[in-house]
Amino acid sequence: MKNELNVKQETLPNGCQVILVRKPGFHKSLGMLATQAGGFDIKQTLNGQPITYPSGCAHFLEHQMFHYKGGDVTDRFAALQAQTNAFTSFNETAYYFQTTSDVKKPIDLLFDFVEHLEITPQTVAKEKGIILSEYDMYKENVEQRLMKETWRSMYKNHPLRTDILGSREDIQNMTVEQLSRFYRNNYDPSRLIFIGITGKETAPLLTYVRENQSAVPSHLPGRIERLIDPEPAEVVRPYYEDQMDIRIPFVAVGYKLPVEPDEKKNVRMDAAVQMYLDTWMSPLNPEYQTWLDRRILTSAAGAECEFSKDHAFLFFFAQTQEVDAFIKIVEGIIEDMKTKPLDEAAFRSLRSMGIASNIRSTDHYESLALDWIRVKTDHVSFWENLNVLKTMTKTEAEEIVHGLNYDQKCVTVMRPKK
Amino acid sequence: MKIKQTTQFVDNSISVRTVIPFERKTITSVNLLVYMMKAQTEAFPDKQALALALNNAYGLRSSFRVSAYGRQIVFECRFQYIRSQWIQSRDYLKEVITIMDQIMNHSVFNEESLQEAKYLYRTRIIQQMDDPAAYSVTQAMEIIDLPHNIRLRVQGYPEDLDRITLQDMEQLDALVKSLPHHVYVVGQPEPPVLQYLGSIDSDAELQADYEAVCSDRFFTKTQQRDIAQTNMTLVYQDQITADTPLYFPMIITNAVLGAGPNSLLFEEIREKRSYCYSVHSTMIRFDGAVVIHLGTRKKYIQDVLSLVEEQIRRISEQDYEDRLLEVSKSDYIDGIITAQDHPFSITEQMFLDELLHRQQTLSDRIEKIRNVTKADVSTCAKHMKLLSAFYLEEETDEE
Repeated sequence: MKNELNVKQETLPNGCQVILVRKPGFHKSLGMLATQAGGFDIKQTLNGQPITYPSGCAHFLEHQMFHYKGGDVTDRFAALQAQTNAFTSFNETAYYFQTTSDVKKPIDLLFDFVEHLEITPQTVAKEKGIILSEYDMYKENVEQRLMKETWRSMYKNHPLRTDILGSREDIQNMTVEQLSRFYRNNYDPSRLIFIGITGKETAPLLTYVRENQSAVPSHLPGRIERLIDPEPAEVVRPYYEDQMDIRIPFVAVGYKLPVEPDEKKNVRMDAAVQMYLDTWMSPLNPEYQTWLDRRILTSAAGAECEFSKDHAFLFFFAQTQEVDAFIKIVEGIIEDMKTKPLDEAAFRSLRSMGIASNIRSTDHYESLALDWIRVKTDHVSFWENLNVLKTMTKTEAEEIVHGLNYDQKCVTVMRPKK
Repeated sequence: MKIKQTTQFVDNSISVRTVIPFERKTITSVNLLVYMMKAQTEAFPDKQALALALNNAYGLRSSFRVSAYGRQIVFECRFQYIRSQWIQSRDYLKEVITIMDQIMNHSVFNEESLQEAKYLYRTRIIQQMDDPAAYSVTQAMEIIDLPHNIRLRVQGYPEDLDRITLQDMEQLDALVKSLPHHVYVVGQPEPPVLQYLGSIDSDAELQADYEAVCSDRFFTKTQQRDIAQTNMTLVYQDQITADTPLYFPMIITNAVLGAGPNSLLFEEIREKRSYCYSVHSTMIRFDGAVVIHLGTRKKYIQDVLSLVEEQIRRISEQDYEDRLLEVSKSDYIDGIITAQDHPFSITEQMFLDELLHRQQTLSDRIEKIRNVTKADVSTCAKHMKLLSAFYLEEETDEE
């Protein structure tokens, strides 16, 4: 049985993309307004002309956006019985509200505050201390550090190697001018995507958003595109080690993969590789018990992959005293991935999981909103994305995985301080 | 068995809860039980077999939780499975019931699974305690040297592991199986599932067992680690528990103080002075306490302490805008309405109402919140007294 999702989509005259999803019976409404710019947007082109921003600009601006009409916009949302928050990821910056009450006024406020910038040298100076505290908080997280250093080992030029929060130096030196320029280039209505997920009727809301935006023209003088400098195929550092205030080491083994510019192919590659990872690095693999018995794995272990038009990687991670043994396990898995077929029983079980994920995905507001933003920025079909596991054959998955180049490996280890 | 019938969700969600005493001598074993119950069962003799079965049952989700409610622990098994109307498989419900029954009632315990459970538990606890924020909060409770459960770690103690034997675990498992199980369901459970759940549900009455912490003493400790910023945790006793008339006012007091971005702590410590990124306060309703945690620089500790005390004073003197009270109330109300969109929030509420013998609807709770006044909140704040303070400081001041 297909999971029906009631969706309305429209691109407005000013270029803003609107997606409204109806969830009958749900009490909460979510409104999210995102710009297609995030941590990756350190370099861009405007009509082909290069522009450079300091690292962490997207994130710093996210913090600043909450200054609105002389106060904090959180207070205005609260007066409308809505709670608000925001986040910056590598590809987007999103502002959202949640409410069980009226949605129209919060929608107005959301568009109004995102489409207006109010910053001063005083507001920028004040935010530095807060962001540096956030920076310190993440520095204490071993898994975050592991990932960050793994990306730094993999990538010479790609902005994955740069913290979304930016460097300490760039945070401390951020200026009004830098933030304003980023804003002008990335917060134009033509760069915005609005997602509304609600139990209410969506047709009137679409009309409402259309009217709201009818008085907000696009001012962008041309086409803004992210600029990623060419990246060599090779990893930068085959091995990196550091020390932290931890008691058991953490290790990551990463593989930098060749890039595929076709996003539709990337969706299928991601699904195929993830199937192998879910089979090999999980209890679905009978060897997994052996690794536990040998005390190589703990419950903090796994594998992930990512495929996009400008980067592709997979990595394995574990908390373990047996660092070398874990690296050997990963190398063995990679050898298997080059030639071995997927276990038939495991494949069928993962297909069932895929169908389940498809059915379940629509019950989770925040991840549903993010899924829609991502398909819009990647220009793939939401339904194709959702159904990829259903349509993937064992043969196709094997061909994809066997055909990848796993030559570029890097190892990152976080060890306890002596 | 308590059931909320709804077609709102694609899953049926099941919570099976067993109440046991919260004791220092057994809490680690209870945590080990979580690892052992899913390692091996009679029908699924290894992890691979169980993983395949869960996947093949369209991603049946199974998890355990150990939670403290005053002097009691709730050992909870959670299951979520997609409602059968979505699945075209004749044996689907039979598979779901088999898996649930196997996990809850047919675990296989042996020396290997015990040793593995100890290993996984130990490494997990080490990882948790390596996190400065989690460590700070745990220590702030542990230093409260009083005969009260607030100081006990619900996660247990790795130092207990060596003395726990297979026989201890078998006895604990037998005890948990023998105690009444209380079943809570959200969704549209099918007749065979209802029949099975009905066979394990007990109509034995739940009895809460808790007491507010109360002391004239103050406990404090400072440690240093090679971390980027100080993680400080303050525990305030308020002697207001879930059965007292001031319970709902205390919820709002906590909200005004530090439950979110509209609170006084957020405004004064983060927004106005940039002393931190994260600051929040949390109620421990069965112990009658509020926990405040934040990350800041060592040099700001005294300022932060003063600011926290000042906000509590402001609340007790009603020295804040009426708007803040109204926003705190409406945010909380929004939260409890939104909880209706989350199945396990619904099961938690059903359990609490049964435990506390409350006949309270959602509208009743909303009404109680709406009726909270500034004077009520002031009374609650006047009850607050600093009980413990723990500081995990950075070794060096890196700028």
